[in-house]
Amino acid sequence: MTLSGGSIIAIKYKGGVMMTADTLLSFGRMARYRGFSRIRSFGDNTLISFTGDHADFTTLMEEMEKEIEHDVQQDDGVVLNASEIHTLLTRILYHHRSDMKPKWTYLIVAGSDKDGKSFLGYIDLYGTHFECDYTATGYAEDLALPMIRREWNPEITEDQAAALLQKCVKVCVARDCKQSSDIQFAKVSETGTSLSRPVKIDCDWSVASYKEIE
Amino acid sequence: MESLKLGIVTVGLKSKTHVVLAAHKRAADMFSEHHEKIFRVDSHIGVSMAGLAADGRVLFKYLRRECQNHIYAYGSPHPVSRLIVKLSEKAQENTQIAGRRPFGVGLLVAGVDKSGPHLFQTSPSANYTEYIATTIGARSQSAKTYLEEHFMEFEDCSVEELVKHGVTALAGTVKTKLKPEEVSISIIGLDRPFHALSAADLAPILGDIYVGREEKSEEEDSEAWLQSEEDD
Repeated sequence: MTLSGGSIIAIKYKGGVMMTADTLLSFGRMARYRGFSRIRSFGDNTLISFTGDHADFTTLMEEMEKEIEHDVQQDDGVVLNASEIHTLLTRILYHHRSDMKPKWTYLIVAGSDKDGKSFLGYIDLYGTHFECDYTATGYAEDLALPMIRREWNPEITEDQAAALLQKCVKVCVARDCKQSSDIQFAKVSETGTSLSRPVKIDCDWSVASYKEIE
Repeated sequence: MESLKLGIVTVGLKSKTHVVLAAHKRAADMFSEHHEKIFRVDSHIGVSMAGLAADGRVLFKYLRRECQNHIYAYGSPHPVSRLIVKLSEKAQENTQIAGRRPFGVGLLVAGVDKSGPHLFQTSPSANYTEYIATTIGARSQSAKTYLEEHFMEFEDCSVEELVKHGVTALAGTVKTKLKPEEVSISIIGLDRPFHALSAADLAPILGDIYVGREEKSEEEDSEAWLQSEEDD
């Protein structure tokens, strides 16, 4: 049994992409390490986050670091954008699954080009990949996606997007035993990427008690 | 390096939005077909070559493969400047490794990417340079002179004007009047992928160029030829 990360939720909003993940690494069902950031920022326009095996994700990120470093060394102004990183990760994941040694991760890649076009893509351990307006991995796929489908529209503002994610995360914390209440938000827009410090989601567990009904 | 000067002449030039390759297709003899001079590497990159065509094809195949690999791996077209670096690294090995000889071919690589239109010239020595307009091949000097006189205008040219400049530069390098089937023009634009002009498209352009211009006599032309050799 190894360390694994839980759900991610990501949605596009007008002008960028916003993503949220908890900061917990689990060892089976044990909450093993808290305060671990599962969202990585690449270059100045890409965010990558994972659900699944932490070691496999680290391996993948080492490969991506090499790619970024290659661009830096060339120093010709050509850098990979989020869509290119997404495709490359897809190929790598598909290659490993074809070796019968899949990298056990579900990845979400978000980015924004200089011209303001945002990108959001999903990849799983088999190399299945797609681009989308909103997506989630892990339990959030079942818990958060239906809520997003109801409320999301392409014109949603940054504040509305943050409120929607907050609402989704609250449900995840309540229902998913592996979700921690220390949540990190990240966003990427034309101006670059930014990751928040872990935020405590306020959970009112009094609703779990039947005192008042008695 | 000499092989570049032996090849058939080819001209490249670019504006803010387009890059044009023009080449003279010479038939080896009167019964043979015209040799194609410009090749499509990818939808956004074309090359034309001067020198040993066989060596040129090796490089051209390599460029095509690299472009396809890039699309597979990254899902996007290959940046032109990076492709030139790869090509140059391949050519450099041949200048240093025992038992090999340098590629006897110069390429004009025209392409469009995120940073706009590009025109590169590569050489057997593995050097490469980016140009606004350039030409390689035998007797390219007169075309070079024409380009040097006009290159300041190219940036704001329309495609039609750019093609006309290319053909005019090319026309100066041959003794005879160019026939439409002897000229090969390919255009790559920011908004339009690699495409070649047909002989039918070229006929009116050539017509415009030769209007009011008498065909050069053989004598004058042979002098011009000597002149250009000295310049080289």
